[in-house]
Amino acid sequence: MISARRSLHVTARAWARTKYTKPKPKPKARLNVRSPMQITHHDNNLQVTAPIPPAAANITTPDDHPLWQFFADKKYLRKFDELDVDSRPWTIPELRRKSFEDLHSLWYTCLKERNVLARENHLLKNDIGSNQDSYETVSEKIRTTMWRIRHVLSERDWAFKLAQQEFGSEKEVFLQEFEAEFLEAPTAEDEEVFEKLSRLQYSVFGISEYIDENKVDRAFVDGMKYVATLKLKKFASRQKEVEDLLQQSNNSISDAGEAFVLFTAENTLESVNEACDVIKELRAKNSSVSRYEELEIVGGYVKQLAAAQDEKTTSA
Amino acid sequence: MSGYQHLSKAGSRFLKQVERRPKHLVDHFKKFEEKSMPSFLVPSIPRVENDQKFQSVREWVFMPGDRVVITRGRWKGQISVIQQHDKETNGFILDENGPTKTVPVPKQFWSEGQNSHMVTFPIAVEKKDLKLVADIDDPAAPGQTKTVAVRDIVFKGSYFDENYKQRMPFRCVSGQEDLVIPWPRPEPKADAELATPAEVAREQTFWVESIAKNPIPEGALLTVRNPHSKWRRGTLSARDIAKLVAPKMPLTKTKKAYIAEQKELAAAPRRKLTSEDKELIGSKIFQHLKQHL
Repeated sequence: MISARRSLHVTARAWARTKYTKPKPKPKARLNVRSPMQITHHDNNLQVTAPIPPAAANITTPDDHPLWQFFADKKYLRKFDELDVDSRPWTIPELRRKSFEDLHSLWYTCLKERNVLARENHLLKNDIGSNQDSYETVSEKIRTTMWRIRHVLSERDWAFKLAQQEFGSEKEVFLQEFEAEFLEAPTAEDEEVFEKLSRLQYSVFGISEYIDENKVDRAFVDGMKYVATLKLKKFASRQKEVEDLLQQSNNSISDAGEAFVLFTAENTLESVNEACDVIKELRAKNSSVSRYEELEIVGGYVKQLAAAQDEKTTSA
Repeated sequence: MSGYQHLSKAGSRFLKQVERRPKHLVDHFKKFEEKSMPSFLVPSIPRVENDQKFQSVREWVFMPGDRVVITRGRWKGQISVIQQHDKETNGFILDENGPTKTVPVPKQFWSEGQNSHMVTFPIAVEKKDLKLVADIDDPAAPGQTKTVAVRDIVFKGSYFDENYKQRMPFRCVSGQEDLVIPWPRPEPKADAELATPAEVAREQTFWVESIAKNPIPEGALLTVRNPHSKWRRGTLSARDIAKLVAPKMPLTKTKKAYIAEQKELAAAPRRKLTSEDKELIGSKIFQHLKQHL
């Protein structure tokens, strides 16, 4: 490359390119050029259009925009005669009759209405500059309803807690009385009596008929044992094997696993008989549930049962 | 003035100072108010303070729709029907037979279709200038009624009025209390927007079903009541008790000495009345009686 004759004073200039030297030749056109990932504006593709005047008509708000919840009938401000000034707040006795779900939804209805009124009141005071309290008066009435809802719920909670305390001492007697009545009833009244039992298990032990609604705790397990024992006693007079099992287990079921088997059995002689066979098998295998692990194990059983039921309903 | 009074109480103390007028200047201010206000806005009877405003039916006595007779002034003897209550003045606005005033109204206050500056307004009338007018059975002409003005009204008992949808007292004639003058029927109103139908409101949806399950979900309890509230009854901290109980006063020197003396006396052995003492007392009494009897 470097000629030997001309030596360095020529080649150095040829190699060092300055702005006075010849420009570097263009590189060859690349064959594999990828198209740009992003297309940006450049001077050549911008166009001048007519200006857009700022106007409300240029803005479209969807009808289901969540902020519409702060407006009454999509109005900027309601007129005073459109306000409901005649209605009174809910009274405490009226609210006492309503379930938690009803009170909950009423609370949110009130809250939403109060949001609308607060917005209107704020605009009236600031945008219009009035000192009228019309919106506030309605809002105060709704606020009265709201504190009454909280009062009623608080009252209900206190009543529940106090009743629980009071009932603690009377529970034994009550259950004994129920048992006597339950066992005395004739066979013809079976359906009625077992319906009563299911009401009792919900009212005293909190065991719901729908298995998946239940939370397994001490009351649940105790209730299960009570119901299992009762079932066994009910059918003991009708079949020898059941009576034998009852006598073997000292007139009460104290094992949670056995109780669960009896508890889930249907209220017929055949089902209870089958349950008795299962219990005998369990005893033969010497498998029992420790009192310390009861809650966990029964919780597992209940979950399994709920899942099985769920599958059944979905497949059906 | 900022429009945030409904959100914040900042500065409300000073606003209250402005609103609270000294008692001796109330009349003075009122005079200026009347002078500065346009005549069509000045009430014919004085405005009343907020705490003096009528609230209940018993205070109003007459309701819109009642026939009344005016007993004083230019319109004395005129019978007219009450149109509405004037809550600002505790007065009654009567229909076209009642008192009116014709005042000039500036053009910016003109209502639609108005073509004169002079407008006739009804004047509010005070309760004491009105007597209730009622039709009662005429004892002189059986089967016919006569119109009378009731001098005085008393309230006896109460009942639930379907028209007013509230408990209303019986309006009786004073001195003849078996004569009840019924309340006028108010104009029927449709249920307003926020109203709940009665059957929905009365429907019972809550039943006590279980003593083992709280009727309120656990998550909701904290929004219903603050379990750590210091206002809860029965939870007084040592600090609270210290605040509530008055401090013990230190004893004075005299008191201390007295207490010490009492203690000493109590500690001393009890003296017993010996037979000698008894004899001495007996002799003393005997001596005394001998001298005086």
